[in-house]
Amino acid sequence: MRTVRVVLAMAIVVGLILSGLAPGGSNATAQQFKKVIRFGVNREQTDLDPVTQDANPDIWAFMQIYQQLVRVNVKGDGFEPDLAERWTTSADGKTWTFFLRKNTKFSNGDPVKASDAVWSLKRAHDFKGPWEWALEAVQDIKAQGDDQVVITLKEPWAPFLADISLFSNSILPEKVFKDAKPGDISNKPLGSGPFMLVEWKKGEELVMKANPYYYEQGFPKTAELHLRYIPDDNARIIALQSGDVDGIDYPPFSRIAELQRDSRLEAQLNPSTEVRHLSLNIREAPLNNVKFRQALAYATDRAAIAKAVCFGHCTPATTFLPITTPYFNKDSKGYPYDLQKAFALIKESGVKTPLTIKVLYRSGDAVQQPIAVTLKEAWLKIGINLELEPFDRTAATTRYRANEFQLYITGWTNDIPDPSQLAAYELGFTQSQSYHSGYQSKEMDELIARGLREINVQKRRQIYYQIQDLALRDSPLIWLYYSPYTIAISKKMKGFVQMATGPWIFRNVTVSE
Amino acid sequence: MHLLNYAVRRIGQTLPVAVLVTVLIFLLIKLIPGDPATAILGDRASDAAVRALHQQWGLDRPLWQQYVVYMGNLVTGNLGQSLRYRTPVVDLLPRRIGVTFFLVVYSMLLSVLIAVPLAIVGAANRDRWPDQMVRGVITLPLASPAFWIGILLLIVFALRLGWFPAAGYGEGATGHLRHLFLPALTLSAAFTAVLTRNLRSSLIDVQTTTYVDFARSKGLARQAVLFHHVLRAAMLPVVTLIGVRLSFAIGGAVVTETVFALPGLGSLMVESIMARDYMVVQTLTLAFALGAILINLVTDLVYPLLDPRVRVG
Repeated sequence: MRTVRVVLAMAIVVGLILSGLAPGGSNATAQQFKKVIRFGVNREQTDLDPVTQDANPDIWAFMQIYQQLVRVNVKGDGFEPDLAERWTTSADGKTWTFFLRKNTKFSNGDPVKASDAVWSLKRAHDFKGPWEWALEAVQDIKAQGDDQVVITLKEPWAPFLADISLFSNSILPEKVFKDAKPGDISNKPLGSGPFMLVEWKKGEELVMKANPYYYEQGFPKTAELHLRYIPDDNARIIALQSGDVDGIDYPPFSRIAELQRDSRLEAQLNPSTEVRHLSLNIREAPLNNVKFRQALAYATDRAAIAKAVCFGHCTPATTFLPITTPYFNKDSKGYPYDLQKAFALIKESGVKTPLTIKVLYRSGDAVQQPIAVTLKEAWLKIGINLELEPFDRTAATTRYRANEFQLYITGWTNDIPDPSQLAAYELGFTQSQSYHSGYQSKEMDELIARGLREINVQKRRQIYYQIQDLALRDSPLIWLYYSPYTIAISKKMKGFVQMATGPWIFRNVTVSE
Repeated sequence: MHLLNYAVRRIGQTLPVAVLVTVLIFLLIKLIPGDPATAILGDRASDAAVRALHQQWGLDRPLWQQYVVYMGNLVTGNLGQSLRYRTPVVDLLPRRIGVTFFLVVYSMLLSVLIAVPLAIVGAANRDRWPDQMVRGVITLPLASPAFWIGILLLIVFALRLGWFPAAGYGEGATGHLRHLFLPALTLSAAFTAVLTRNLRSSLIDVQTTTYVDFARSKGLARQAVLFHHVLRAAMLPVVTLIGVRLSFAIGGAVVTETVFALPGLGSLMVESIMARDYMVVQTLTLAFALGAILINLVTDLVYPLLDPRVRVG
């Protein structure tokens, strides 16, 4: 028995030593504000090349490091100077001249020159990737001296400022990257933004420090920014609640109410450009029948889906455009939930029910899975048996791109504050086969082309209203709901902003001790 | 000398096993549906960009050619490039190996530190209330999933009490020890239960042997009998268990690494399979297979050190 007591005492002592091994969790000093912002993210960064990447975790990270000629304002409805302090347009609208600030430098101390902008934009223009559309209207890019970038367009282009503000058009130092090894831009980004990369522990943490040469005096307000990868939702929330991190992204909707009740935390539901929808493969029966598609749209209880998935924090969708997009038609009624109309349309379509349709989605996805289940229940009422096809992310993407699906649950966020990007991608066949639905409409293609070229704001608005109406009429997709971005931060964190297009702004952030 | 010859023979036998493992895993990972190029480039990638990546990575070649290239690189020490991270695989491994090795050894240590005293208490008080309490308590971790135990520990010790950090690996040895205590405890939970039960049974068996009776009758103190005679002999099956457990520990660490956001080999393996990062999956699987063989060899070599009656080979 004495031996047992000795052994147990040793175990307790070891445990107490371990618990006292390091100093307390806070790196409290005599300062008023912390030196480090720690932000927990649910997906890790894998590649920080602005031209090749389309995943939000990468984009929102390298947006702390890079700048563009102009940037989107915080509200997401206009533009403000960034590397360019001003710009002019020729009378014919085809020549844009950007005047660079004189005091901007990359984080290695080299000044930002017009030649860097030309090299970066030409690289973005020439690369055949997800963003090649952003510079499709560009005919020529050249430097005029060290501080003027002249861009000549093939024709006047309505969304050009939005396009040039896209993150893929970030300005990189030509001298550093022109002859760099493959992978250098991906792994060792170097820009003129508020932060610079100092260490990247892949799969763990991205460590950034203030760029000492950043042109805005007094910014960033905090010396370091750490993006910490914590994939498990519960662990990420606990890390925030215990003070290990100062903020987190994507807390699940199911936890928002709990976080709102926590007096130490602030749960944010930020206006976004996120819209969830179903892509319908309209190449084959019965989905090639427009009346049948309209019937499905009427039979979709968007309010129930929004409640099931977002716990009431999402808004049923009425058009293909996200709410915060310019020219969103707020008077459009979309497809209200109406089973009678659904039955009538099925009858008109000639499609015989009951029948089975398959829906492809990513297994284990906290959003897609409840959408599939809720839809299955809703469509049973009109004689549609929805067969669920969950696949892991990669397999689902491969099948979707090969058009091996009937329905596919997916979503969208705008990358620019202009409707042209989504209209071309979702409803114009060239870029994505209309979200792989196979939808092709001459009428729609003409409207999209006009929308890109019409400079007059009122006329342009009317074009996009027509596009929204036509999209609803033809229904190659079924738009489900608009979703805010969810964020949770400590109340000690001030100045955090998330743009409607998604990127976080950390340069104004302070975290008090 | 005999042991050394045995060890050399066993190491030589691993080569055909390793080759078989490379063939199996190469074929299996390629059979899983899903294209790594689209996984990396995303939904919006152009067909041209996807084709270019296939060409760059040699994925447009016949499978047998891809295998030959892979084996040729392997024998020259080139582990290839991670498709996902655009980094040589060899650069990804050191920190990850450190994390998982630290976690697994730490969890083993905790298991032994907890299981040995509990087993001794149980065996010394066979069928009385301390023994019943030990046997009752250890069924709890056996019945509970690891992620649930992990979250519970996080809520109590990280959130409510603030004794330990909630996530991450920390810096420096003391930082690692502190950050990994809860994950190691999570990982050790089920194994501690198994170890306790096995050691308890083993102790009871050894206590009834004639040489232990003889040691007692010689007048040796109770602790001397326990530590010099009983415990040492009872550890043989425990060593086997630890060896088997170590072989599977990396797979068992996956859930723990995910819950506690630890950048270890287990989480790297799962994420690489999901992303079809072929080179990483092939490298890790080969490493795990070789590791399992090595652990079994070491386990076999430890037996005669514990019990001179045991001969190997």
